[in-house]
Amino acid sequence: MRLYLYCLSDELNADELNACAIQSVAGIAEAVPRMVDLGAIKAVVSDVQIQQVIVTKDNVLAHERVIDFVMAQTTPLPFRFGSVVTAAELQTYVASNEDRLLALLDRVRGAVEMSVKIIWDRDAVRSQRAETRSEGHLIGDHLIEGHLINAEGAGPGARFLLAKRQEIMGERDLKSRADEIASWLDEGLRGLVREKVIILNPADALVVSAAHLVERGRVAEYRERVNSLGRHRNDLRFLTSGAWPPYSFTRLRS
Amino acid sequence: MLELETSELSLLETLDHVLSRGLVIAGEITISVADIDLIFVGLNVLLGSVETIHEVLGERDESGKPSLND
Repeated sequence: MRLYLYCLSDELNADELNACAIQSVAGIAEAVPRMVDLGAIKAVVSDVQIQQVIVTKDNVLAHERVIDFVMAQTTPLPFRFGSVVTAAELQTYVASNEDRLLALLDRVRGAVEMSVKIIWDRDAVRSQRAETRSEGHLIGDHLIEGHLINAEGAGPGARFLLAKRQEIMGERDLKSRADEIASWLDEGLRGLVREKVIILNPADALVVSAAHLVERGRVAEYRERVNSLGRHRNDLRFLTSGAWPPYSFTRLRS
Repeated sequence: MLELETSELSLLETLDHVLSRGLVIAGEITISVADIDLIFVGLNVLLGSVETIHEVLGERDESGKPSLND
């Protein structure tokens, strides 16, 4: 018998959880979720016979459904989908990381995760920046480390290097624009976000993926602020979602 | 502004969260992918553009389900 792991909490108690009828929530493989008492930390698990979990819509939703149920009571630390261990392994993990897990639970207490994804037209951004620099084409003079090089009169080697330089500058421009967008979002949400995890992908359409830890009581304010920010940027598209369990805020600090 | 109001997008966001984030007990996660379509659509939406989202969900919109706010 193995355990499928949903989440950890230091605020749950078995009576309250049972009173909320967690047994009526179908977990992975229709297994009934239950609480395992590990001292200061409790784990919500279900008994499974399997060693690995298949990614299906039903399984993914079952994982999220159980954690959402706990979220209604408190903010837990969610496990990643597919965590299957023995009872001994779970006990060892919690015992050896107890202080760090408790610190992490403190950090997310009373908060939820909100998500903002920002999509841009990368090619348009690149063209715009190239035009600004008048380097949309490999023509004209290029000042490189104090040497003035004319692309039209340059040999194949120099032209290759000029093209490479142009490509690198283009990538730097995209990175710079992505940084600007992330900073603008940060500034716009100042005072509303307890913690954040930002992933920048200047090379992709999905340029910013932001996860924000927001107090439960300020979620509506957060949504309104993001909506307001979005109305000011017609050049960007926004995909917002939440409230989520704090999936992005589970990194244990040493 | 694009809001997640459809169950399809909610599912894709759920996938994004539960598959790539959360506590991990080292070496204890082994998942296999049974529903290729689900992942394919997920990657398209999560890594693609808003236009892709409209393409993916266009047929569903025509069937009368809630459409995206834009």
